[in-house]
Amino acid sequence: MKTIKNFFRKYLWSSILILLLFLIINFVGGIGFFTAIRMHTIDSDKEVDEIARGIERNENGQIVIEEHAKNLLSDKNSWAMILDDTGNVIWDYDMPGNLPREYTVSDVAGFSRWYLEDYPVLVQTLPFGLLVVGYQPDDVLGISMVKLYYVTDSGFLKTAAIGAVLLILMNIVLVILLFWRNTGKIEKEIVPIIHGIEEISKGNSVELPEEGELAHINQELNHAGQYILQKDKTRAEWINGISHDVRTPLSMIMGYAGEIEEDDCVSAQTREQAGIIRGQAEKIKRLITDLNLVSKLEYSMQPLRKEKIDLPELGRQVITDFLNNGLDAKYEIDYDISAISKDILYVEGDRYLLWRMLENLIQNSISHNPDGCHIILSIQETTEQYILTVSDDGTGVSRKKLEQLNQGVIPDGDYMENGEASHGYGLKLVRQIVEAHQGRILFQENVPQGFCVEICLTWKRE
Amino acid sequence: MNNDWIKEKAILIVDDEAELLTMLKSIFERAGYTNVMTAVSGEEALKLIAVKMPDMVISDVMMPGMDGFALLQEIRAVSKIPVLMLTAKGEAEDRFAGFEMGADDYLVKPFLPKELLLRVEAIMKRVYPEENRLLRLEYVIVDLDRAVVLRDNETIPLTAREYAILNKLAENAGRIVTVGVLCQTACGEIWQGYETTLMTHIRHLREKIEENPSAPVSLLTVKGLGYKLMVKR
Repeated sequence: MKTIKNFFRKYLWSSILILLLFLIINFVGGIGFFTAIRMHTIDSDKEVDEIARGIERNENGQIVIEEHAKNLLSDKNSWAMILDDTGNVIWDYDMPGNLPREYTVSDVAGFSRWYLEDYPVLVQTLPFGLLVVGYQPDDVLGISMVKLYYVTDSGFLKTAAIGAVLLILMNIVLVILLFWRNTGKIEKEIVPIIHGIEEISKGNSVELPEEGELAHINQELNHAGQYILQKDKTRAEWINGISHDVRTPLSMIMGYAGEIEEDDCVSAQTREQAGIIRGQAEKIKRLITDLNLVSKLEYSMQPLRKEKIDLPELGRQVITDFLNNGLDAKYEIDYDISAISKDILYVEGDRYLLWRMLENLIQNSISHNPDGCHIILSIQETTEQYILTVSDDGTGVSRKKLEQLNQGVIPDGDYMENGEASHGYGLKLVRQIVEAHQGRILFQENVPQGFCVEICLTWKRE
Repeated sequence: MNNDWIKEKAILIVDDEAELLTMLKSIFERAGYTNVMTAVSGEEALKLIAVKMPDMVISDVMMPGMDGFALLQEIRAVSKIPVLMLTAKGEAEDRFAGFEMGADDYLVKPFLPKELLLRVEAIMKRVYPEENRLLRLEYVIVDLDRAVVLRDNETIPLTAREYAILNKLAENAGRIVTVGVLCQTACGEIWQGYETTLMTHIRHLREKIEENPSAPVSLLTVKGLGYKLMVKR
């Protein structure tokens, strides 16, 4: 828990740091921006004051300008004029020729606040008239001016505008980058853990790198995965062990019961009872074999030994095995392969498992119909698959059970019923074998009655 | 067919479970076998073999000390006598390992006495063919040693393939033998597509052994599965 707390505390702090850094950068940028504006802005009062001080009317009534004021003007390609009270130009310095020499009061009011024909101008009252200083309007940095609230270098203003946009962009990029990096770091640590949890929930083991900030959690997950796997393995081994150990005692039971059953010296009743013991022992044998194989397939402990299988012949052999081993006369098995072509096809599969699959399906029909039934194993051929059907005309199963069988779960209460009716592991094993061969299986009702299992397996051509 | 000559063959049974050994011995003796020996370990079995080679060995796979496979290897080093493995695992790997090392057959525990006796008989018949093997059918007698059918006073020869098929059916007399197994007997591992030829051979065989080939009583067809040979005792 401490690791996680530290992990998130760390990222909280780094988020705060990112915000602080962001604020500082913006603060510095802002200060820089305003300082630059200040540097490029004319203090109108001061500048015009200085120029005004350099302009005087001598005793002859002539207006003269001092060298210093001249320099101030020519520095910025500026010009100047003086208007008398009636609005006539009584003096000028470098005044552009296209400007009028006469101004009305409203003209004066207009340009004193804004522009005179595009020229940004500043005004100052002198004892002998109104001094008007005009600056260049072209956007040249340091020379031409623009008139805002402040009178500011217009070239600079353009640069500043670009600068401001850049500053905003930089802000956005910076924020994205910093948060990206931060989130990326969290992602890098968290994503493998989430994948690990997903894998474990599927029952697989995981191998997460035991490093980084959350190494501790990865380590725990690795342990959990191994623990689950180990548990599965232990269970499978346990089942395997029991099914192994039970075989010798079962051999003895089946052996002696079989002996008594065929001993003419004992009474018919005893022989019959021995037959029942033998039959039940065989049932236990089937059950443990199925259970063992189911657990092995479930935990992938039974590797498939694939070879080319002639499915129609395999079907013949399985049925023949039932018939040769003395199938009770109340059961009838038919084999229908009339619909398959003469092409030489094969199924890539594990002979032993496919045999078990067919054997279990037929055995299932037999076990569920103690009063006898007619079983049909048929094989059909499509352009890609063999469709294998095992059907009987027996008692069938309920809708609910069919649904459960199709979902791959062992039907509820299946073991509550007497041993005869248990579908349990036999059919689960069939499903597992089909799935191990990438096939499809469907449990359904037979028409008009009975149980039907359809299996599709892909065939290959020689 | 009379199987009495089989019953005189010496069988050695090896299993570490003394009780199972007793049971197996009794099964064979009750079935009429007169020469059954037992050993509780691979080592003991080897000692017995060194004194006198039995005609067949039945051995458990899992045994403390020398296991069944090791015993099989030791036997194979000196002899080709048939060996039937009893395995408690019933797993594919046991079968493969056993067959690669030259076991003739295997039987998964638990098994019925009948199953064991049948397997042993089948192996014995294959490995120690009876001299003057005469196959008594409904209408004819087949002399398997000479590969001829004795019919009334006539001697009809069998072709090699007909003989192989009939022999296989005779080994499994009274039991169904599948089309695939018969094709494999007649033409080897790759037999697919041989089914129609097999039918021709069966027809020829029937002409030789049946009174009325279209209504056979000895060589029966089991629809969709294979054939079955009915033998008179």
